[in-house]
Amino acid sequence: MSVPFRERPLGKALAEYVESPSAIIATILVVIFFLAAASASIIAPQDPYDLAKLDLLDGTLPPLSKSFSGMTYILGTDEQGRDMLSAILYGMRISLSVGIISTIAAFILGTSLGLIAAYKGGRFDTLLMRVVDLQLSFPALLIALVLLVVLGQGVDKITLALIIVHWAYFARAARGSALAERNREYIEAARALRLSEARIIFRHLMPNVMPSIIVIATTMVARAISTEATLSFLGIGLPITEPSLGLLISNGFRYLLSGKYWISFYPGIALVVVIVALNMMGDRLRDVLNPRLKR
Amino acid sequence: MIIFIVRRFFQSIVLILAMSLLVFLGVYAIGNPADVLISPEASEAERADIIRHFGLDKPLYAQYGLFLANAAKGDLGRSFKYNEPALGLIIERMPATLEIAFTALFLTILIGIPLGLLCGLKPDATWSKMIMGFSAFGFSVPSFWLGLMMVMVFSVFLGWLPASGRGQTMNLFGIPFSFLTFDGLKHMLLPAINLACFKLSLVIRLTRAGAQEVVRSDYIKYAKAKGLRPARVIFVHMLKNILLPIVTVLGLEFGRTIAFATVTETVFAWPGMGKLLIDSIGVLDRPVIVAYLMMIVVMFIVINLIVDLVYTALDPRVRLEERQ
Repeated sequence: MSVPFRERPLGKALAEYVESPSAIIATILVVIFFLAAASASIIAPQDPYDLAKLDLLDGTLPPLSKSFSGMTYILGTDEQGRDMLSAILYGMRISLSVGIISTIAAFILGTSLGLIAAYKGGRFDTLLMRVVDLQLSFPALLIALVLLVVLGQGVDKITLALIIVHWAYFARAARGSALAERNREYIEAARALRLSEARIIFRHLMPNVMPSIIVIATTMVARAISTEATLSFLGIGLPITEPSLGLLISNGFRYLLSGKYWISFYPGIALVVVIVALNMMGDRLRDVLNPRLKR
Repeated sequence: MIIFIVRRFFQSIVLILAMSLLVFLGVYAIGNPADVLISPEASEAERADIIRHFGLDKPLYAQYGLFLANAAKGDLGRSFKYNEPALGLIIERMPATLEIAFTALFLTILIGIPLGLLCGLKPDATWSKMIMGFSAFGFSVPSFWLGLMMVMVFSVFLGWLPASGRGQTMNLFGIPFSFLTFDGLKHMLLPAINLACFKLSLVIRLTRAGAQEVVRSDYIKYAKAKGLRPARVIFVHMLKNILLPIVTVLGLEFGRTIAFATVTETVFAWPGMGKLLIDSIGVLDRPVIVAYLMMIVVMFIVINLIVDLVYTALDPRVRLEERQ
């Protein structure tokens, strides 16, 4: 293992990735949002869900107004006198964790099933792909909506619904790349060595299909966050006790029509910046990792 | 070809049956409808009456059998809330949804294809990059947020366009439509653009990719060498060859549009079937939810079937594969 890092595949991909300024900006933004959300309880000016700290007299104040106690509400307050900046930080935490946890679970489930289907072939493969095709012919939003109608509201339920919706994308992509890899020499060599099937699938096949799956995972986090926000906006995603960004936007919608834009506007901006930044990262990763695009 | 059609047709019917079972079981799991439907002040006799009326006292399989038999007659139950046939409620609201969906589709084709062609033919121009930037943005931004921003800018701040409702409608064949009056058109503009945004981004990308591929082909070079006018080369020779995948995708997208109309209708308080669904979920109006989902499932399967058949008819390569 004396090959220098910059010449190993990961190092090369990384070096190519940072060549794009927009990808760097997007990555920095995502990291900032992630850190801000993770440390929301430390950096937020106010605990937005401690009712004792809220003052109804401070309700629907525009951005940069001062409260009676001398605190400045940088992004204004909502109808209950809640500091919007704090609410956004806490909401971001819920949105990001739902997006990331559901994507990781869908990733593990979908990739494993896709790899096994590609390696084994036969009836399991046919059946799995039928299910995948059937599921992908309906829009993700509609399936998630139906699932939530059945499951009810809650962070755990929306995470489960997003896993069920998104695993099929991973399964299809993993199977597609694995089919191309299955007949390569290194798999044949591993078979000749009499390695166990599980070992061949997860130690030999999996690392080689990873690049295309990672690209999908990045965009799936963005999609999961977007779908969760949409469902919460429709009032069937998260309950009022777990206010994600989508729910904050939905709460502010009533006030938007009377010109009090900030209750909806700033959570919306935070949501859109995260989603667009994640998609830009995904686009760059696809350019770097997809061998078909390199000419 | 006929065997192919018949087989696809039977597949679709099996699919509809399977989905109906899923939908029925799924919605049954929501909760005890008797608790939702009957007010706490109702007497025991009233309660028993309602339970009998909706068949809620029968076992699950009997309820499903009843559901299928009735569905075949076009009866998907009565709404708990409105006490009207559920299917009728949906059909009543369907023209409103179809109206913005078709307008969105129309806007997509009208704007998307020319912009995509521009980008494909001059990929390095500044405005091409701007259009592609817009397309990337339209792809990733949540549709409800775009809708809210449109309301904020055009209705609240500028006051140009109304933020909600259908406005004045005019009857055509006994169905009210908004696009026939000026006031209705004003109400339609924002929802239709909102609904079109995602598709627009998609069509721009597809057209661009198609144009870039086709522009290098020999028949385009030949058409140019013949001295044909550029407009003719672009709109006849190129467009014909780009159009097939776009038509296919737009066909499949139509189902998505109906599903996403749920979001747009909620933002703009547009009284279509999507808004009816969201309102029904809020009050657990089970027959309406089931009827809506069945409608959507059937619609999707029919759209997929039509797209498949049209594609087979248009592209001889698919037919050849089928024969082998």
